[in-house]
Order: sequence, then C-alpha cells, then structure tokens
Amino acid sequence: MKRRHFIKSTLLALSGLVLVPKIAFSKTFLTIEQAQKILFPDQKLTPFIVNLTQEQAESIEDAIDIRVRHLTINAWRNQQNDWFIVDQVIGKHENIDLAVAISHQGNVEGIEVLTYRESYGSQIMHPKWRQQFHGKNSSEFLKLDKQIKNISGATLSCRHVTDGINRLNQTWKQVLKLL
Amino acid sequence: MKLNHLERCKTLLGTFVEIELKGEVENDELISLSEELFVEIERIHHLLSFHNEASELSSLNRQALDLTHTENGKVLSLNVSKDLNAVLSFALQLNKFTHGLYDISIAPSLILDEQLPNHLSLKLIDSKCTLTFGNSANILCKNNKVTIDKPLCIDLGGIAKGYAVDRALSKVPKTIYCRINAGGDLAINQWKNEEVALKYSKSNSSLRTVKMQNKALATTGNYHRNNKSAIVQPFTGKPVKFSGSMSVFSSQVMMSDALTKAMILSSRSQKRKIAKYFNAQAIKINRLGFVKLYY
Repeated sequence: MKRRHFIKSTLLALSGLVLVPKIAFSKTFLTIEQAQKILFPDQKLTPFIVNLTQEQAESIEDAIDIRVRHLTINAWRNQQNDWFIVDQVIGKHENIDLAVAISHQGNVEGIEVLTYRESYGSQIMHPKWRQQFHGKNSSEFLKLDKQIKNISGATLSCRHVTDGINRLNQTWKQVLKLL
Repeated sequence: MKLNHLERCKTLLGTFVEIELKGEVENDELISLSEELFVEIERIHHLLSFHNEASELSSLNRQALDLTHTENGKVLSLNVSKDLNAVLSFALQLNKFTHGLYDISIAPSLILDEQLPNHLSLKLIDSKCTLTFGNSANILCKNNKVTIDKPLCIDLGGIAKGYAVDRALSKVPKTIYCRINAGGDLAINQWKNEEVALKYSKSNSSLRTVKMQNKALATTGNYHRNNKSAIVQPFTGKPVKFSGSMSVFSSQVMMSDALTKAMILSSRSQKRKIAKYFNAQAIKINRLGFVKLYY
C-alpha cells in the first residue's frame, strides 16, 4: 500500500514538472487606444515612459507597504498634465492589465481593466512568467487565450486592483507630480 | 448601420464587473450607455453596501442597533429609498417562505468570522452572542417604510449585487444586446441560445457549460474564501461548510443571488419547493463536478 502511494505521489510530482504551465482563462476587454478614447475623449496624449530609480521605488513601498514590481511606468500625458497609465496588477490567482487616468491634481478619474488573466498555478508568482506580459499590448497574447464569454462562479475579490491603484497614487505624489 | 460592439470591465462592488453591449448604433452611444450602467451599479453599491459606513444600509444598522434589549416596546420606524425597500421586501418574502433559513440579519456572525468589518463596534465573543440579536422576523417593510422591533444588524451582501445588475439592465433599450457579469451574477437581455460556463472549484478547468435557462443567473461557492464560508445557518449563527457551487437561473439576478443561499441551506424537498415557487432552476455541482438539478 505504501509502495503504491509512493509511486502515485512521485508520478504526480513528476507530471507537475513536465507539464508546461499555461494560462487557463484570459479575457481581453479594451485595447490601449480604446481605453484612451474612453478616459480622455478627444484629447491628444503623448507617450511618456517613466523609469523609477531604486530609491523612488523603495520610498513608494515604504509609504504604502505595497510592493513595486516594475520600475518602468508606461504612461501618456495630455497638455494639462493629466496622466494615462497602463499598469499590471498581480493577485494571488490573477494577472491584470489596467488603464488608469490620474488628473493633474492627483485624483483617479477612471480605471479600466484591459486584460484579465486567471491562473491557479504557482507560475503567476514567478517573475519570468509575469515579465512576458509587462508593458505589452494585450492582443499579443490572444493566441494563449481560451475565450469563454460567460462564466458564473464564486465572486472574486478585486482587492489587488485597489492595492495597485494606491501604488499608482503614491507614484503620482512622489514622482509624476514633479515631472 | 453596422453592428458595433463594446466590452468593458471595471472594479465595482468589490469585484470585477463586465458589461458587453452590441447594437446598430454609434460606438460613442455604446460607450455612454455603458458609462450610465456602471454609474447605476455604483449608485446601488453606495446605498446598500455594508462596508461603506456612509451607506443607507449602515445608517439603518446604526439606528437598529440603538434599540437596546432592555427597552421593551421600543420600535424603530423610518423611511427608506425605493431601492432598499425593493431588496428588503424580497429578502423578507424569501425569509418567510424558507421559514427563516434565508436571513439577512446574519451580519453579526460574519463580523465574528472577520468576513465583515466591525465598524459598528459590536461586542461579539462567540456564535451564541450572535443569536441575541434580532432576525428577519423583527423587520417589517412596506411602502418604503421599515419597522424594526429588536436590535439587529443587516448584511445585504448576498442579494444587493444582483439587484444592482437588475437595475443596470433595466436601463438598456430592447434593441441593444446587453450582458452584465458582476463577479458571477450574470444577466443577459437576449439570453436565448446563450451558453454559460458554471465554475465549481478553484481549478480553471472546473467548468460545466449549460444553456442559459432564463435571463438571470447567480452562482455561490466558497472556493475563493480560504476555508471561510459566507453562508450562515441563522438558527446556530455558525458558517456552513459548502464545497462546489450552487447556481440559480431566474427572471431577476437579485432573486437568483438570494436563492443560491436559500438553496444551499435547504433540504432536498425544500429546494424543489423553492425552485417551483419562484419559477427558478437550480444547479448544484459538487467539487468533483457531479451535477444535481432542482426545478
């Protein structure tokens, strides 16, 4: 009995190593251009990539106790100095691309989920796995998608998105406001 | 005019709310309609949220808790919005029909289990304490007026999200296809021939695809709650362990949302009675994917 149990667990463990991790569910809502049109209708936005220094990232982390995973901020600005930022939020099971509009006074004026990827493997916490999505257009990953239009299940919390918004708010206060 | 299509997702009601619109109208029209629907959902959330201390529900709870146990005969009577009236009326109707099994006054149990914030400063030691509060039988709701005769604390978490989706859907013109999914509470105005995947465990492959049976659907499960359960047995004040999922199709998402909880707590024969009375179809899927139907 013990031998059978041992063989079963070993096979399971090995299959976990051999199987290629994949995204089981992913959904794309808006492209970056569509989100810009919704959040900044009829306004010209200019790309403005911001690279945080290690010190700035640490200072943001210290202020709000939320980890800064990426030093590069994919941002756009209009003439009034309002910001349009495309960011990535990592939850326990999900990886989400967000578009956030922050006014020149630092108010969050709008949030749009661009792409939602749900995963229940350990790969979501692996930096290399996450890196492949960072700062890229969601449409590049459509080939990985298993598009299911309607899903009804237990309610998922969006707490990680709230954390992500707080991090961007703090980034505006400490860095973007001064640019 | 060509058929235009828009699909958006925002974080509202503590979850992800998706809206899909399709119609032979300008794209800008779809955008402004989607905006209107998101605003309506947010409005209901601000009125009925337990978490929001400034909500109408929180105000009602504060006043209901001010009725002390010793002051026999003291009754709280206040006017409420038509939205709170609609949700309370249905919740009380279901409470009566299930002989108290579906109860919206389980907030003390959820606070004790740290699933709700204790911003009302309730002193709770164990599940017995939660039973000292009043229950749905102590609430009367009629014509936008609520009467409460015992201290109690209401949570509409198991019904308000569905009501918000219903309200939003009611604003969509018939000529436009609309699908709203608020974290599993789903409504589709042109629902015939639509399919839906019901999720019954954490694993992404744990899906059972079925045809939509009505325009509204809600699913309840505990698999995202880390061994906690938001389903409380009102007679013991204790959370009920439940694996898998319970989905209910009906004509309103509010009804489906509330019925999922009532179905989980009911016996098999009660489940059939409830489904028949509310003209609903329920699908229970256990954690291994086995399906049972009640209609």
